[in-house]
Amino acid sequence: MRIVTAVLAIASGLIVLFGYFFPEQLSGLRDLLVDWAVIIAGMAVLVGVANLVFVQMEKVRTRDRNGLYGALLVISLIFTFGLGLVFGPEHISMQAVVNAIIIPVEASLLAILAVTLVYASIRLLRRRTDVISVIFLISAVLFMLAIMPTPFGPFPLDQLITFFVGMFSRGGARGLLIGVALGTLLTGLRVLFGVDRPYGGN
Amino acid sequence: MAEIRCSNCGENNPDFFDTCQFCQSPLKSESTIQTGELPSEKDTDELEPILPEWLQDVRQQSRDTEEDETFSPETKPKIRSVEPVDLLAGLASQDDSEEDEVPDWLASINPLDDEKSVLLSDSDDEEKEETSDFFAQFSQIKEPEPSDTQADETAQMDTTPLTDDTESQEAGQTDELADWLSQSTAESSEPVSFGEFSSDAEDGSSTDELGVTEPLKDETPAEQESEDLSWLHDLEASSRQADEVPASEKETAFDIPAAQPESSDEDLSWLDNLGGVRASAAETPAQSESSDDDLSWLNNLGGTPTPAADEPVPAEAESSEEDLDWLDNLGGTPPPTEEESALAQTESAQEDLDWLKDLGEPSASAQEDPAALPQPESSEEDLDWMKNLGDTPPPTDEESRPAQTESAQEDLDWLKDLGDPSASAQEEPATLDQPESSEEDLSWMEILGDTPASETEEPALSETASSDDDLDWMKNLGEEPGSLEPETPSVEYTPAHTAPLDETAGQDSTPDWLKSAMEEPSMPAPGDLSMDWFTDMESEKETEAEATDEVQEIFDLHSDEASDLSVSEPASEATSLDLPFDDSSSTSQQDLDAMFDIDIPEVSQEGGGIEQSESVSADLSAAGDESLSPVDLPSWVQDMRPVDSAIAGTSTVEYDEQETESEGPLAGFSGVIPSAPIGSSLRPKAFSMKLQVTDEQQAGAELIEQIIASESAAPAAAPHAEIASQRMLRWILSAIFVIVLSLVIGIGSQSFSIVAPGRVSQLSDLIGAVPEGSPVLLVVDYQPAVAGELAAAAGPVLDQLALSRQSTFTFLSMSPNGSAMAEHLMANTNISSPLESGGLGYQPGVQYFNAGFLPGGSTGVLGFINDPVSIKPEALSLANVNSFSGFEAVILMTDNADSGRVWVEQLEIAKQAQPEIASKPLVVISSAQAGPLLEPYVSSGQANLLINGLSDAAKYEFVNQSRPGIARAYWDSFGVGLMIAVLSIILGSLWNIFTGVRERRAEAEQG
Repeated sequence: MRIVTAVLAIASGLIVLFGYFFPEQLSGLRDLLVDWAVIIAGMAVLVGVANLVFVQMEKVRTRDRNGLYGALLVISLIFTFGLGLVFGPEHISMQAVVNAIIIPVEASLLAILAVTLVYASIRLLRRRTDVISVIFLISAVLFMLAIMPTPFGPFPLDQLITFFVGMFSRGGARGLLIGVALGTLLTGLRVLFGVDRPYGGN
Repeated sequence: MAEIRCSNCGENNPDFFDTCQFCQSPLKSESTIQTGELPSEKDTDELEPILPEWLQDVRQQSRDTEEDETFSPETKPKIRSVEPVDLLAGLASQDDSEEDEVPDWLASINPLDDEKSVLLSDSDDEEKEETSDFFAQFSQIKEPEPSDTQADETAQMDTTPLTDDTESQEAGQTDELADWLSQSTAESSEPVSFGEFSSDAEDGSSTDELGVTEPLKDETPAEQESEDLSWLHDLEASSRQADEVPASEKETAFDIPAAQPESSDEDLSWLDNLGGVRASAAETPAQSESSDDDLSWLNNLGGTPTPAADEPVPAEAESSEEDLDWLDNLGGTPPPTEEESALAQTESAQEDLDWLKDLGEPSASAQEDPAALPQPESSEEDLDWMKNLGDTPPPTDEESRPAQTESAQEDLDWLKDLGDPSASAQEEPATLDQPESSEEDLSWMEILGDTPASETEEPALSETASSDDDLDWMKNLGEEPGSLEPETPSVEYTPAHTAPLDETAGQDSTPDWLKSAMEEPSMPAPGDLSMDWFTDMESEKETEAEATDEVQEIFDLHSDEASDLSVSEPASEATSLDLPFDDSSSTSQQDLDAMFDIDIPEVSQEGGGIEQSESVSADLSAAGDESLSPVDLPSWVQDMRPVDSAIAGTSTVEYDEQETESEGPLAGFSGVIPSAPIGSSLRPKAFSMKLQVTDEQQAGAELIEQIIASESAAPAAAPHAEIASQRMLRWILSAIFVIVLSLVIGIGSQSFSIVAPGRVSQLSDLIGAVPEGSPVLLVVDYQPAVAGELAAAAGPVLDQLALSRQSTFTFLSMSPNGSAMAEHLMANTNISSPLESGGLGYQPGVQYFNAGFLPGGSTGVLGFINDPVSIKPEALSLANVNSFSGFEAVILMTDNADSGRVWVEQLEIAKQAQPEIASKPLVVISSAQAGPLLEPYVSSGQANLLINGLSDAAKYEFVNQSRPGIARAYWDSFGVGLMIAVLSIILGSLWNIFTGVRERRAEAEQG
């Protein structure tokens, strides 16, 4: 069975890969495999939602300490799912649910993150007084100063600061992207050669 | 694991077992002595019960003997100080430098080595010449100066006892006998010296005086000789009457020139037949008739009657050497033939001692080289009878010839085979030719202890009163010491106790070497069966305790001494040899052989040593006498005693019962020490594995465990005081942000200015290129958390498209919340709001379409770009397009850099495959956190425009105439929030740096 799965995975990858090199011959087969993958991914979302419901229902059944939150989650899920099926996503009720519940909650979490980052920056030099920490703090402060609007107009030297900080940020970003690309390529090759089997096995 | 084999059942057991697990017999003995351990000294009395039976018997006998000795001092153990003078013992003092040399005749005494003795006897001629025999010296010395040499030799003989014993009386007795013997060996030219020496010795003068021969010679010894040797005359007369020994037979190598006085010759004639050896009648010349007559009685001394007709009347003066001729046949040595006797007349006195040669071995003389016949006989030859002393077969005529012609060195060869029955047995045929007289003479040896009546009567007839006294010592030859049995022979042989020997000399005339030989050994020689002769010949006490090693030592001593023997020594030796020839003794010639046939204990040499020792012990027990005193138990016996098994009381495994090795190099041997260690009792015994501790020990152990546990446990961390301040700081920060931002938002301040950069115009140019009323694809790929930021960022773009280009929007969500976010976006930007409320009045399904969620991530993006009909067909239908290229612009709204990268990359690939897509603009609207990662794609041209966060949104909104105004509403609060954050970080960092330096300084001060 493991050999079958490996063969299927390697064959699918090779077909999709060679579909770019031989689009005339393999484009149809490639598109078919991509369609199957999208369907499988959609079903995976449903399986994930179903798993979330079962786990939270198990907590409710076992009367776990956080079982109440689980029950609330399951009820909200079923209510929103039913509301969307009945009224559709453009219904005002659905927008109210999103605007009144989902967006403020998540926005609040992001606001807490902002306060936490500030607090961490303050405590950084207390915990770790070194050059990297100082550089990190200086970079963050300068970047914020550069984008920070003031009542008096933009911060002085904002363009220089933006360029200087942007240069480092872009350089770092490119490096990260190149690293990600190399990692993706290597991972693809390992899957194609059967070294890595994320679909099962080793 | 080592195993111990059970001695009882033979099964193997583990070594820690004390008893056999099969038969329950003890495996170990507590008293086992390990190999290498020395036995501790213990009182032998305590160990008495554990001794073997044969040792117990011996010890018991020795005790009884001690008791007897208290009543009979004669039977006391050897006490050298009381012993008579040992004539041979003095030889060692004469030449100490040559002590190491062992004469052949002594070297061959070992009865065990029969073959060797035979070989030695075969090579007598050579050996005699090579051996440093004292007889050789004697002959060499005597030839040039017969008289002087004789005197010197006599002196040496006499001086020897003095070195060992200072008692003058005993020395005198011995000297007397030595004198007459030496005189017999002296040349005819100096016959007087014999009497002189004897008289001196008789007078009790010191040997030093005796050594001075010249003055003694001057003295007239006639009277002394008559006194000394008168008994010899009587003895000879008696023997002549009884046996009528022919004069020719009496002639021996002791023949002395006619110049010698007859008296001296006659005195020694009795010695001719002392051993019962018949003097050779044919050899007796006319010259020596007188001496032969004197000593004729000696021919039948051993009890063998000599025909009287054969004995001529020795009226002539015979040499003293001839008088000793009887000694030739003492041990069965055949008398010399007539031819030999004729030659013997001219021999030197040294040859007279050849009779000693045959005392123990007649065969030696039989093998002598006949080439030596022409040599003149000497007194040394007279001692040849000693050769056959212990041997039955007498030498033949042929044998006697070479014996007579041999040098003095050969004379002692008889001692080589002394007691060697095998050698004598091999040569018995040679003795067949001996004359009957000699054979008869040997017969007396067989009944030496029995003393037949016929033998004893003969000397009695002719003996005189004086001679009776002189020969008393002869009476006790072979008689058991201490036994006072009145026997007729003793009466008849009283001449043996005549003048030369007093009574004490007669009693103690036994030389040391014989005494020691007959002395009781400390323990019986194991396996020595020949020790019976001691029982018969000597007293039971003497025979039982004969020790082989002592005998060996004695012979070794004498062998050393004999290497340099002088002329006088043979005489003394002959004197000392008188004892075994006692008439009363039951000693036979075989017994004499057995005397020297003592086997060395072979316990350690052979496996059968135990049986031998048992047999010996049986013999000793049969002897029934106590010859071993408790104190004489040798150390080696103590070492050999079976201490362990006896003490432990355990049943000693019999030798036969011991197992025989079945494998290994020792296969076939029994009694092998087992491979398992002996005495495993020394090993620590097996103890119970359960630990037995007291309560106190248990409490101590628990305390130690607690101490160890407390050491390993990590101490509780002390609470820091900073926790309150940190939490307070967080609360302060949160409060500041909430309060300040709430105030800014609440006030609705728009005081902070917005400065539009130069690239803002690019956005207007790009949107202006989009055809009017064309469908635009809007990819919603962000979470609700950043909905406010992205709505503010995307508001100006969507407002411009809807307002200026009346584009239809097709929303494709990359997340399940995308559809809701799209509606939220349309509502917040007032695009979907009715026109009355200031909105654009876009209607869902008319101006904008929500295509829903596109699953599959990058795969879904790839599939949607390549074949949107197959992947998301409703999106195309709503937008009224047939392909992806039907969308005039793609606006990607994302807060995830990866999702933005996938869209950028897939669109870039699609642009290469589908050139019509390449002209379509791609605008990326991202959050502030994802902007830096998507910036490279904008820089590389893969994306046409990037609106990064609120800052860019405010600028585009400013360019778009501040529509929809969302960015501007957040702008002041955004600026205030950043300032609070920057100030908090700066101030907090400075404070932390200060506090950190203060703490370090405080720590440095505290050390």
